[in-house]
Amino acid sequence: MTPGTVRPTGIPGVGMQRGEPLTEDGLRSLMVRYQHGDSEAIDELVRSLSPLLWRFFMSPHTSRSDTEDLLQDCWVRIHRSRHTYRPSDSLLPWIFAIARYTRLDGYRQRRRRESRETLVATLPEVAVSDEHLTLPDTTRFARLLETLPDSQREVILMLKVSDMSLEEVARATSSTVGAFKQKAHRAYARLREIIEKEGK
Amino acid sequence: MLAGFKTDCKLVDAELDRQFAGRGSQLALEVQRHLDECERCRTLYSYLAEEFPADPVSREVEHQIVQTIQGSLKPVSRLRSTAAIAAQLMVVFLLISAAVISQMKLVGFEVMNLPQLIGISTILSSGVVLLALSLSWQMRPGSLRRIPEWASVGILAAGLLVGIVLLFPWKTPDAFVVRGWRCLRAGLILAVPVSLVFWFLVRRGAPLSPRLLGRTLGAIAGLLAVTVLQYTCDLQDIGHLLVWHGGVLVLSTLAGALVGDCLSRFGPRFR
Repeated sequence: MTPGTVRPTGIPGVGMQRGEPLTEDGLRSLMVRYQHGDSEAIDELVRSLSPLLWRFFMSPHTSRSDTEDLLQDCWVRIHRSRHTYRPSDSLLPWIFAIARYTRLDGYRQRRRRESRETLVATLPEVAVSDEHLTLPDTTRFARLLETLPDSQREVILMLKVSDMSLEEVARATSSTVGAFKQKAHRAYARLREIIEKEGK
Repeated sequence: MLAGFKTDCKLVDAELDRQFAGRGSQLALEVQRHLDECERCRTLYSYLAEEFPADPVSREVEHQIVQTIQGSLKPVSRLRSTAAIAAQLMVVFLLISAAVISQMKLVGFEVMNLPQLIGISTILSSGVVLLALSLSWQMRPGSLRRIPEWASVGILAAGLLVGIVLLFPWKTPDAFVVRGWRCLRAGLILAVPVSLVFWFLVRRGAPLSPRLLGRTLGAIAGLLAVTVLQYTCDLQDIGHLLVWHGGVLVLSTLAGALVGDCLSRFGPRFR
């Protein structure tokens, strides 16, 4: 999306690995085939949507293996909930609503796990391991996102990474459009502050 | 000067809303002018407009996911529409409350006057609609919420509070605790199996937040108990209704929230 233009018809990132962005209608028909038990459809859905979900689960505090676990857990939940999708609705809000709770539960589990771990010796100082993921380094914006609080980062990621509309993101976050707009505006304000600080 | 600057920045926020709402077209002249003047807005706008590069996901991980899913892949029948689910929940509510009330004496009907009967029945039925809608939204991920979930229980509680205060008289308490405790106990005893019935109905969906689901189930079960008590209790004064009947709704909602919270914390062990 370039400034002043409308959203593209293909969904950025969806199906990009094959170089053929899938449209919303394409995704819906794959989902319907998946509900009917078509094994090729699930194969294609996983390959099309996993890059989006992967990007959504990545964070500076999540290791690669944790991100893989989140992705797998999310697909298992999608599989268990597949009967709740209706073809009259957009697919991405349904997918991201499940992904959002997978991420929240993963975060809670990690917190519980970390709280049970006891430091038994002084650890040597090490540089941040490659094992830990960062958002793609190709854009400054990706690095900027990392400085946002998690809830605001989620807002921007959902709007930008999935290219969902405000109403669709409101659906995915179990929120109303008005409440979601407020959240987005707070995130924009925070980003402006950071941009201004970086500029000085 | 600063206030004007902030207002202009809000124009960009509104433009971003428009773009993300899918109605984006050419930039309005005043937005374009502001972007030319304000560097931070220009930077923010260009960041949000640029493509996010796709990241590679390991083929092996994708393959594992597909293998896992294909192992248990079979056709599924779709969940009904949100409106149909909400209607089903309302009908069940009506049937259970009618069945319980029919087993008891309709003393409340005789004690209440017409405005009280109409007023409280309207509040109770509005509460049923709100909670049934909330449950049906929770059963389907990605449903559009017209009312925030936290507000459903809040609106119901506020409606009951205001309705009771406006419609019913203050009376000198007559065996306030003894008779009130009887209502509270009966209400809570009724709420437990009712919440299980509603849980049975919603379990086919995919509620994502056990905490929220528990609270709403507790609230709808409590509301059913309050409805039964309202039409079968002869004490129709503000103090009794607020403390003891209202107490059923509050305790039932809190108990549901607590159960949901426990499931949320220890959920993975139960899954």
